[in-house]
Amino acid sequence: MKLNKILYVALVGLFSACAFDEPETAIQDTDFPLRLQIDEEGADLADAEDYDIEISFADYIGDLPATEITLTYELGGEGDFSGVEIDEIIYEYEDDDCAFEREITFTGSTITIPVDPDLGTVPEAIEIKVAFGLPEDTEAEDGGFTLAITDISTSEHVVFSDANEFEYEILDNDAAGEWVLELDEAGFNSFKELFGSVSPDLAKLSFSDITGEVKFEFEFEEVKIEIELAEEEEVTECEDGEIETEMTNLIVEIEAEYDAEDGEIEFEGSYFTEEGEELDFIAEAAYEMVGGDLIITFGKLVDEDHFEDGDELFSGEAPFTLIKD
Amino acid sequence: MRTILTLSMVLLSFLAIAQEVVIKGKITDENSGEPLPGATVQVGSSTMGTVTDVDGEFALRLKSGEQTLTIRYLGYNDFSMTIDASANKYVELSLKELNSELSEVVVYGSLQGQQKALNQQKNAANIKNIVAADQIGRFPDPNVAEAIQRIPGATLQRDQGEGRYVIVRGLAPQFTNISINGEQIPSPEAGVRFVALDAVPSDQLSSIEVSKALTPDMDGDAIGGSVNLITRKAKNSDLEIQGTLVGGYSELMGKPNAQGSLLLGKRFGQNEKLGILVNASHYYTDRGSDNWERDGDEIELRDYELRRTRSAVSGTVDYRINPNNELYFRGIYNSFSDREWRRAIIFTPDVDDSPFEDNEIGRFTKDRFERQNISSFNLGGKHMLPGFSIDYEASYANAIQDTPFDYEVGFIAEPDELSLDFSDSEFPAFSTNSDFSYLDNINYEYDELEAGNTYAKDENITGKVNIGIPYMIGENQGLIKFGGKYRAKTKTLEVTNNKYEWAGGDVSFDGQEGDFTLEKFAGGLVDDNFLDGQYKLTAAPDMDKAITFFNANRSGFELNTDDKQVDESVESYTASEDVAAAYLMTDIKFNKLQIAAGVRFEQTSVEYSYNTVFFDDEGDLDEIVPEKGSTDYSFVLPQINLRYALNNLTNIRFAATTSYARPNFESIVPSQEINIADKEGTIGNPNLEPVSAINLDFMVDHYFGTVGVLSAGVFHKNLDKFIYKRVYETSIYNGIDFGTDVELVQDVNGQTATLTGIELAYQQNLTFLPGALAGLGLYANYTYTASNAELADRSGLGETEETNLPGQAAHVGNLSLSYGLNGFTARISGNYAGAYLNELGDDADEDEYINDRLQIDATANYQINSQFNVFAEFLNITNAPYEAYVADEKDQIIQREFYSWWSRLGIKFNF
Repeated sequence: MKLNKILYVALVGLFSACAFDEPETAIQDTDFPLRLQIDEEGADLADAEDYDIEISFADYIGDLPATEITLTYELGGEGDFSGVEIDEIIYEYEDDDCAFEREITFTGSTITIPVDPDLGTVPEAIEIKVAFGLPEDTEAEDGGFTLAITDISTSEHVVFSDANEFEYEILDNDAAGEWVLELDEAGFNSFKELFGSVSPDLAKLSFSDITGEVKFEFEFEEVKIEIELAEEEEVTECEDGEIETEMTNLIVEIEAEYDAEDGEIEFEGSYFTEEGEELDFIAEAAYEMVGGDLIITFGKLVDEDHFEDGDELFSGEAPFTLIKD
Repeated sequence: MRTILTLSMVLLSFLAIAQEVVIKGKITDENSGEPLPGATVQVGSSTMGTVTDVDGEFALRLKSGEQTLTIRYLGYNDFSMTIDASANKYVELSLKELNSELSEVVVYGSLQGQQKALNQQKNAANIKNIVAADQIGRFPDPNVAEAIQRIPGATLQRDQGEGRYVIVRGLAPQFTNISINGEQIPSPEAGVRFVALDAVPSDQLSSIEVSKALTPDMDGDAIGGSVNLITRKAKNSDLEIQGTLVGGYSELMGKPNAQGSLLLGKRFGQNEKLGILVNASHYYTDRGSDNWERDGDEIELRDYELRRTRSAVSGTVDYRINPNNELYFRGIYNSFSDREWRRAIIFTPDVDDSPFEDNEIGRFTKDRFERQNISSFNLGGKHMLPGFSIDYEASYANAIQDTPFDYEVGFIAEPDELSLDFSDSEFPAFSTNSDFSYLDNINYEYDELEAGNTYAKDENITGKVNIGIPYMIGENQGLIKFGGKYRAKTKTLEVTNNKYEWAGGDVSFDGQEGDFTLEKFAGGLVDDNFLDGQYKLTAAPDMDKAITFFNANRSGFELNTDDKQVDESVESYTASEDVAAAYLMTDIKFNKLQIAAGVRFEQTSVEYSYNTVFFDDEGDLDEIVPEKGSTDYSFVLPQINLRYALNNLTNIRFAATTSYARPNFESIVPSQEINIADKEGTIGNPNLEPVSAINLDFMVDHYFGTVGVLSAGVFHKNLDKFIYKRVYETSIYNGIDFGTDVELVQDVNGQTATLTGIELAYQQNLTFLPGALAGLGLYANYTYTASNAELADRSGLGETEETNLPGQAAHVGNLSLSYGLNGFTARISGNYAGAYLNELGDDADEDEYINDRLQIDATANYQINSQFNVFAEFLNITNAPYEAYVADEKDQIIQREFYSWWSRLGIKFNF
């Protein structure tokens, strides 16, 4: 019998016994394209007159394209932004520590990214300045605009990101804008006690080292805190071939993302310890507007190594009054 | 003066031997015509004689005139014959089995494997174990690694339940070299030297030799042992046809497996001068495993599904120009493939309740194909010339590991609450907040798609020559042997590794739109009895869907260029290694004492090119610098092996040998990956030195005339500069100032280590028992080892620790009981490997151990007639798991993997 059946089963089994050496679907990534991407969203104060939107290449290996790329776009606004139009498009070229701004041509529906003669390729990033077209000294009250890249034309292996639309809105939280914190020695010590733990540079300062002025710049989702030092340094800048040298005060900066809502504000950032280790930090605070001033009362500051109860970098109440700049 | 006298005596002895004639011959079984390797051929009552080789052939230099030859072979009647040695002759002898009268209870041919193995072991000059082809068939061992596990002192490292790497006498795989037909084969795996022996099907071989004590004519880089895989050769002018057809079933996956092999061999021409043999086999299995693993506070459930194939073709063409001159070409090509689908769920709780961390549950599917090809080709000749013999060989071997695709896609959920419970150490539990279900795929958002491929190649080109000059001291015949070898090796590794994040916003796929979440991309096999129902699973990420979406939406994916450049440049390297070796030895027999002793010299030069990767202060890729380096070392290796034959069946053996082990390429190539931001890195060690060893062996082996052996031995090894992973902090390495303390992991040389063991082996067919009990047979061996290794400053605390050598299990053994009656044989076999330290961690608490494991297999076969044999095999009957634990605490389990049982049913034919 059965021997024949065994032989049959074994033969059938064996002949069907190939190695599964092919994937069901092979990935097509041996020529993964260069990808252009656009900022996804942005916001500015109601009195802003224009906004810069960046289009840039995502991280890449190798060289950028050596032929021009044409983008087709649609720009449209609502409410106070119904008159938006592109004001200018530029990119920056650096040569010998000198920055040169170069303009890019565009039409009502296309942007052509040229090959820079010095780079030999297209630039890595361009900035599109969109003018809002509001009457002078007018603040926007409602609406927003979008800039969508709807098509890309290139002979090179370049695609535009699926996320191809930028959305703009009015920055309308109470904290938005630039504020100044004026500090006396007690205020500085309090400020240093709070932020010194996430800024080793600040921790080294004494009151006599600073001018007493601290700037808070609340932008779209980001805040920058600048502590101005009394010490000055000579700064040389070169723009479009013109070299300018001036003395400016040294600045100690703390940067973080923030989220302000219903009187509560949370800051998230990171810092490098003296040992070179990067640690994230979170600061929690309450805020209120009093007579045009912004009062922020910090309650807690923690980092990745110090977040358990009793082990926080700061815990208590540290109020600071910020004056509109 | 004494030296001159000795030399003169030796020269005079040569002159005496110059009057010799050469007698060559072959000894076979009277019934089957099978060659009988390991038979002793004694000249008269003198100490002169020889032993037949693996093909049953022998060569003797005799004074002209009438001579009596006595042939002895375990399990056969002694045989004497008188020959007229007046001219060079070729004689063929057939021996009759001693136990043919027991044919009622002894299965046809079942003893031949044991006979071959034991005869070779008994008469070998050094301590070795031999597994003959038909002996392999007694156990259900489809690959070479699993066949080797049956010998004393051998354990395996397994992969998916199948044996892969061999550990001999408690020393990790890198301490044992692997050869095919006497020449080392390279490793297909990137970075290491040892060979995964699951790539080689056991049915391609005529025998496996495991030498536990070296002789000077063997490569010296074998501290644990030297494994030689010998392929087959045509026997005679009758066309030999052998084959198997096997079908089987793997219980866990509910899928079949199958195997087929066919061997054709024949000698052609007058005097059967030309021999041609071709042997091919193919095996496939659909397997799987259910697994959980723990890494700190994280657990992972892994559901594996596999398709494995193992194919091989080997062939031998040999040409006997005349009885004294032979040319040969041997080749073997092995191809092992492994397609693996791995569906994993990873639970990572935020155990510290940190506001900077989230509870995470990851769902990952891996799909990769890997093929290992190992090829070896040997072209050589053997010549018996007046006054001396010479053999030479040129060989080429290559090993390739090609992974043309290795995909992994992952999705991650962040439940508000996630806790793990390890109170049940065998099956840890987990829980989430009540309104979250880990089985609901809508909770999981796309994380990353990884797609890569690797190609590793290792190539050896070798040339060698051996010259043997016979001499006499009094009536004692000896052989001076010397030779040289040169081997050029190149090893390369190419890596492609792409990681894609999603930057395209909402997705649209297969009629579904919205967030990039798992329910749109789930599918494939769902194991509804995972780990015997301990955990529930749901549809995992479907790779086909993920790749289809990727291909259609490449503009939404972002390539992580830093990771790509770092991974590819750090892992890739090219290395070349040139080895030159020479030896001088003698093999002489004084009455009952055989001495095989001499010295070997090996010089190794290594050159390599690699990349060094630097990161900036913020942890971003800063610079990749191509670099080159080299190292060289040499060893003088004296060896002595003594065998004192108390009688024809009992030996006392002693060996004092020296050997060494080369560092793995990945350890010595100084590529470095330093992440300043994370303050950690791995770094090669160009100053890493080879491990050297002094080995002592003492053994008594007694053989039973009815085929069997009882042996007992002790061994001791003293290792110097053994290699382990050291973790330490430094701010400067090799002139590079990191600017901060960085925790580096690096292979370094340890202090000394010792390994001591006892080996016991007993196997016998109990034919002396009355009646039907005479069909019983016992195969048992046990090895106990103890080791001690000193680690200097492993954790950078300035402390010296003592630990076991990685890979060393205290208790290892086999027990197999068989019964044969009227052509039917049944066998139940147990293979036990005790717990052992697998990998040293940063400190003792992180040392990883593999738990003891007992696998029980059963086989049965029925010899229908002399040409057909049907058999059945059941493996891993008790579903023995693979278990790992840490800190030398068996309840600190970090991995459990189950394979269930699998079976095979087949037929063997032999014409």
